[in-house]
Amino acid sequence: MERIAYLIRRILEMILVVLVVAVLNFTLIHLAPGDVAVYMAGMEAGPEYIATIRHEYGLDLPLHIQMGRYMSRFLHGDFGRSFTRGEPVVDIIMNRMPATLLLMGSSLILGAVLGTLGGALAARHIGSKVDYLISGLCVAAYSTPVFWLGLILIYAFSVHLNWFPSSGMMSFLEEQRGIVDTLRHMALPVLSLTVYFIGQNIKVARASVAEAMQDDYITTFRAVGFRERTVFLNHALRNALLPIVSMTGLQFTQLTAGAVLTETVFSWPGMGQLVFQAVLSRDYPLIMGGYILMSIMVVLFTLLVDFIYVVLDPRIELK
Amino acid sequence: MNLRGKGRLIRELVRQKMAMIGFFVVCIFFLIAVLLQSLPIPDPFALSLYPFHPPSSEHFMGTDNLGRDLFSRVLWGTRASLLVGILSAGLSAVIGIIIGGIAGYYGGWIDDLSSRITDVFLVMPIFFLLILIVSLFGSHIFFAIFSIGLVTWPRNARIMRAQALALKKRAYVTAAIGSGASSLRVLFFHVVPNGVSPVIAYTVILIGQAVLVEAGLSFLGLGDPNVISWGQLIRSGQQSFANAWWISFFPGLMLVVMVSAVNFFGDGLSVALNPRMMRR
Repeated sequence: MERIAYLIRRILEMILVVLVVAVLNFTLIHLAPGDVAVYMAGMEAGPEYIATIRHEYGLDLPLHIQMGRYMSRFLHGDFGRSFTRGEPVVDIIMNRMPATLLLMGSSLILGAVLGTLGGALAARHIGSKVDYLISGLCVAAYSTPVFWLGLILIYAFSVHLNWFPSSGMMSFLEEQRGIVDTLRHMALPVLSLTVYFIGQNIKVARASVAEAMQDDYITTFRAVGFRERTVFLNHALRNALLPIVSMTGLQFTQLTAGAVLTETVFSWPGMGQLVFQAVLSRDYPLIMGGYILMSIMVVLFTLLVDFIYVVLDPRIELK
Repeated sequence: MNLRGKGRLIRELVRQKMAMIGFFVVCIFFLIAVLLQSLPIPDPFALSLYPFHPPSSEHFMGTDNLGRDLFSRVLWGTRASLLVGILSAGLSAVIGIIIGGIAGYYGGWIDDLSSRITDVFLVMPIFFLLILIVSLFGSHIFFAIFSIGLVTWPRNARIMRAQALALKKRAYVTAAIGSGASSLRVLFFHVVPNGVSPVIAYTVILIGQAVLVEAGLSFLGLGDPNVISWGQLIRSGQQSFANAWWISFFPGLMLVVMVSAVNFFGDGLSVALNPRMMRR
């Protein structure tokens, strides 16, 4: 019962997050210098046309009424149409979402798996040269700007070695497309994101495995005569899994940063690039809708992680 | 923190080689940023007849598309990065300490409100919020500093809140209240100074993150056009990367070195400040 109450509380919290994001978005855009109606009408439009637009979109109403209208439309799932593309915002974004999820999902999973293994390896040989090497590399990994690493990877593996394509998600020619083709396009963007995630995960996994190795029950297992390997694999390593799960949840909130920067470098046709372009062209419905839908995605993933956490750990503190 | 504590902290830091190296590297960057004008380097804005010149003895890091000396420009970029990193992390720490301290010490509705805000910020995609703020309101460097500080304080507040909660029942706090000190005085002269160390450690890590965020914004073209920054340098070399790799390579390398150094120092600091973690 306590668990269900906890999850319900988390769900309510997450709904609050989405509402705050929506209000914040609205406020920011309406506080920004410059007239929304002028951007919508285009720079060459005459004053009558701007006035028509202003009236048509209710931009001449008091701000709190505009916000009320906007929130009520938003609660009905209506994000309006994009200024620049003319299509409904929801359609445009849903079109782009799979590409971003593919990119982020593969990097997060790869980062979690390799990071756990790396961290466990460092913790197993704690204080040794292997440990110093892994820990040092891991700090460098999460200190490296993901867009810069992307440029270097393109230079090395695309321009020079010509192993992998440098941009896009699939080949131009229809007959070259397929799963292998998409995997080849994914290689470099996924690698540059994964390096960052691995760095963070190694740090977390190393700390939690090292902590577990000092616990009394591990000493007991050793004293009873279990082999070191068994103790390590079956008991110490298991302790690293929960912190990695919550780390992966946190990393998903960095999705927008990763998505915007990586997708820009690799021309990956995802949401990050789309919404960034919308910001540059001041396509307000697309900006607001895009940000809110991205936040909903992050929130859903965070809830999923909470759920996994509750299932995995019987000792979880339900505060 | 008393004298014995300080001595222990410094001893513990010196024992950690990487933290010390990190600290020295950050100091070098700091000196470069402060002494820029008196360093014997060419004018970073001076054009020359040798655009896209590869690294040579005359130009350590080559020249850019307008023939400007890249080494000099990279050194100038140090200033923007450190400025953004230190000021925005500092701002974040100050707001976090005030709000977290008040929330933890007084409790009640203030605590509830600030905890909810913290939770919201921890889940919200922050980088995109920064893109939105900077592109809508202007890209002046102090605007970037201000917005980074404004979106990162909640985690500091959470750390300070936990510290204030733990410390407010200590004997010396009760003694201070008993001797008639006002509650704000108790909070900011007794609770905060004794509980601030984890906030400091996190703030050092935050400096590195702020440097990366600023570089990311500049790389996207949202940096201050009047300031030389590493992110902008990387952006300016992106188009010609295949033919003139050095334009983007060296500023990025500096970013890796600076942020790694900050992180090594920050990690060392949090170990040294937390005696429980020392054995590991």
